[in-house]
Amino acid sequence: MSDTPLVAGGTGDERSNTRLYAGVIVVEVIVVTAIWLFQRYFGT
Amino acid sequence: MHFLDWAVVVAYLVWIVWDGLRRSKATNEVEGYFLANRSLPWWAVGLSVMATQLSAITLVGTTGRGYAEGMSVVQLYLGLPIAMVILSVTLVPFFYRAKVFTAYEYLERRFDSRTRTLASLLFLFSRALSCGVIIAAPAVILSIVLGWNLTLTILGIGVPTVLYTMVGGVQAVTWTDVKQMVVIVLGVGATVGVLLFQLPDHVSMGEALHIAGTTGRMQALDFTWDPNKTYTFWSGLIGGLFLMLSYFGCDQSQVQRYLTAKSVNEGRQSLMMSAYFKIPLQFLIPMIGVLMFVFYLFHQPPVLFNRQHDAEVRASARAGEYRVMEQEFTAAFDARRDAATALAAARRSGGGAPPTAAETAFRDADGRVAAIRGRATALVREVTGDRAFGDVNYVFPTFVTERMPVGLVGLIIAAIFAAAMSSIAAELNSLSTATVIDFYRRLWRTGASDAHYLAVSKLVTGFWGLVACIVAIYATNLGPLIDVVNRFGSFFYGSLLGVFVLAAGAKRATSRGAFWGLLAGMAIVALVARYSSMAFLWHNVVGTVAVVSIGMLISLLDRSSSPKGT
Repeated sequence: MSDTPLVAGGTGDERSNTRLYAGVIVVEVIVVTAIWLFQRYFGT
Repeated sequence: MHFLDWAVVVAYLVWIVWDGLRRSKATNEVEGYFLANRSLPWWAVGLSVMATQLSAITLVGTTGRGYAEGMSVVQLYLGLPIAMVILSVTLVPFFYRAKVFTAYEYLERRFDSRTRTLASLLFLFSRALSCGVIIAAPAVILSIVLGWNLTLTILGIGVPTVLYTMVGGVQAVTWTDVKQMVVIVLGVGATVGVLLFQLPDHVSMGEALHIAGTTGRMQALDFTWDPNKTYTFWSGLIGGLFLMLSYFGCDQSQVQRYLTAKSVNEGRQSLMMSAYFKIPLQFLIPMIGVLMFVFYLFHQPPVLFNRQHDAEVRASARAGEYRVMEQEFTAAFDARRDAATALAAARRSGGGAPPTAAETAFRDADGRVAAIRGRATALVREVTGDRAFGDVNYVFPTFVTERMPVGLVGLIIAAIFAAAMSSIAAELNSLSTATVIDFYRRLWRTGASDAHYLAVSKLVTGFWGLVACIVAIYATNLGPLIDVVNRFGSFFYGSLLGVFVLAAGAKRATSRGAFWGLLAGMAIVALVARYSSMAFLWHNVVGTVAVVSIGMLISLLDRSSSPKGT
């Protein structure tokens, strides 16, 4: 048994990163959408 | 090269080596040498993570691919931000709290020593070879484009890197990575600027991108579901997710970067830097290739960018055939340039509406140019016997040396050096860590003093540097560069990730299940790679699923081995 259990989401103040993670996903969606629009505009 | 460009390259090398060597003051014990006493700020670690991943192969190979095929390679990175979030939630806090030096230490705690040994050996074997390829790839290209001696070019990249990594340890690696990343970004920015500045007066940037789009080069996202296609949205999102999870979570060369951070949160933030900026940066790099394609629509390119093969064909019995090809190429280039000019004019006069006839004429003209280049490439393969020859890897260095202003040529060559050196340094440092921590200190010489392990660590770094340089000198037949390293990694990465999934996510997994599952997973990936045309990104998914499935099956059947739990 490891003495360092794996806790999804971390513990205590480590959970304060949730906003950071959500930001990453939001930014990725925006970036991929921007690339798709770029391709739609210049792709013809 | 102009003496000013030489001065820039030499100044870069002196600066980096000096900066790396002076970090040795902070590395007087093993934890300082390998982990910087877990004291580095997130932004430095984050830049180091990015610099380690961005090798010269990325810079040269991806721009070449952008020139030949367009933006599709950006899809490789679509899974990266999600992988960073998953790792930040799971493995990063675990590794940090466990106070491990290597990722593979965890496998011994969770399973047994042979699983740790096997995983660490796989890392050592794959990274030692890839380190050689990372040195060889830019060295081969620079030596051909600039007429440098190949062995001296390899040593020019390898020796300074080995020197500062050996002396300064991870402190040297990280702080030189920071500076190297700045040099790379400056080089990329300067290239984009020059390419935009050199567009003809009668073609705007928008028109240039529309022209490139006519050939399909702006097709960055491909939503088709074809497992045999290398880069699609789905292979990048799913296969790329597995590749990045494995690379950043199970590959010591990356794990060691964020283990040097001051705290768990700083380690996470360092990964978030890649999560936010990697896709935009990787969009810019193939865009250089697309802009070079536009540039060479209006400025005649050589039939072959690889001048060494060009000279070999000219000196061969088939030189006459090649001369005829060159004449055809010049005529085809003129026709394509006129068609591109007509297409730009038609777009302007049509108020931006797509002029179908002009587009068709341009596509036909571009097809004729591409066909002649294809015939020239085939001729090179026949004359030289180099069956894997691909001319695209020579486009970017040739453009830089022939078309960039004096001074900036030196900056871009320095950026190529920086990209190679930052990756090599991190890999040498991690190879040394895995060798000393996973093998030497555990199996060979237990209980020696910290000073002894520090001295051995430095020697081992030098040893791996020597191995990498020897591999680089003998590495030939590179093929499309970006794929060589990624394909090679995909052979092991998925299976390694599978073992870590078993370790962290499956309480019932046993040590026997993990060990044999890992071996079986690699065997299955080898079979899939050998007998199917499945794109290499999917191999990561196959490896992970195979290890988890077989590992769990063996664990459930294995009544004699009790699970250790998590």
